[in-house]
Amino acid sequence: MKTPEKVKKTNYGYLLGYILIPLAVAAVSVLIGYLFFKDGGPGAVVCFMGGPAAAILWWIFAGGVIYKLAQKKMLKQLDGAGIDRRQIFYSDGCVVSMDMEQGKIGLLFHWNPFEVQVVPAGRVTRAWTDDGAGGPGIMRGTNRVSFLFEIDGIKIRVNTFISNQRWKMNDEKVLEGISKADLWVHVLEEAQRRGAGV
Amino acid sequence: MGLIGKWLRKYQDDWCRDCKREMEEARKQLFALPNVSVGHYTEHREPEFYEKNLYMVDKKADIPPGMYACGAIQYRCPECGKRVTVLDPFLPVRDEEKHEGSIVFRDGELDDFLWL
Repeated sequence: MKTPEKVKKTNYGYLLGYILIPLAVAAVSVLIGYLFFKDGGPGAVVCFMGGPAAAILWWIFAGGVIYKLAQKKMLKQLDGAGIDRRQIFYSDGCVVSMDMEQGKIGLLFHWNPFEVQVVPAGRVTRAWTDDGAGGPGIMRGTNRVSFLFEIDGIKIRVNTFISNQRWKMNDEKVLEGISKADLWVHVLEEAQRRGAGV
Repeated sequence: MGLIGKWLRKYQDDWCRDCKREMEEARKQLFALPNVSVGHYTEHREPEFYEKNLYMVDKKADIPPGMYACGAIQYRCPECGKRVTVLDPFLPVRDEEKHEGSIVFRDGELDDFLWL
């Protein structure tokens, strides 16, 4: 856990490794099959199917599993550092925790899961809700509601509602998403105000 | 809240079951539920919960984002004088409201607390 000079949303080493290592494993597996099992048989099946299948499973599931484990680790780290984490929001791409008393924001990103970043709330420059509303007339709706905030000019988006279809703006799920986003904007603004000593 | 719930709320809560007639709206008040925030609503039917958690407010704008509100209406039957209190917990979201279904107290459980 650290207080970075600049918030890092993506660990490019991890991202590249996440994509390329399974690709390399699949390629090596296929190469072994090609070189040593030209005549077919169970070995060829394992080499030609096993490696690529493992790579695909990795791409589908591993990111979520690593992110979940990192979330558990984050809680332990925040507890260890004496940071109040009762106010916490888990999103698909980011976890945000807020300690109002100490004015500290804890951040964990899906693509940077090995680093819990703790930032003073005074570094938040603005926070707002994006209800994602779009579409004409009766088609007006949204498939994503989120709150956004900027730390040192870096924009962080946290989804409170996401769907693969468009929902009406007065749908209960959308309203709940908007309410959560508005609540967090309120919390961030309050923390920012306190951090600025207002 | 489903269609049946909405229908019941609209047409049955204010109905005197003894006299089989519509009751009059006697009193109305808005409360905040500061201990219930968005995503954490669970229905409570015990009056003690509301005695502990309801705080009177003047208008919806007084309720911070993400916090539940609760409308309370007391109905009175003009014929038999029976009083019924209906609580309507809801989440205010900008100009909209997400209602969770009403809770009816028919035996005056909350009268002393709500209508002081």
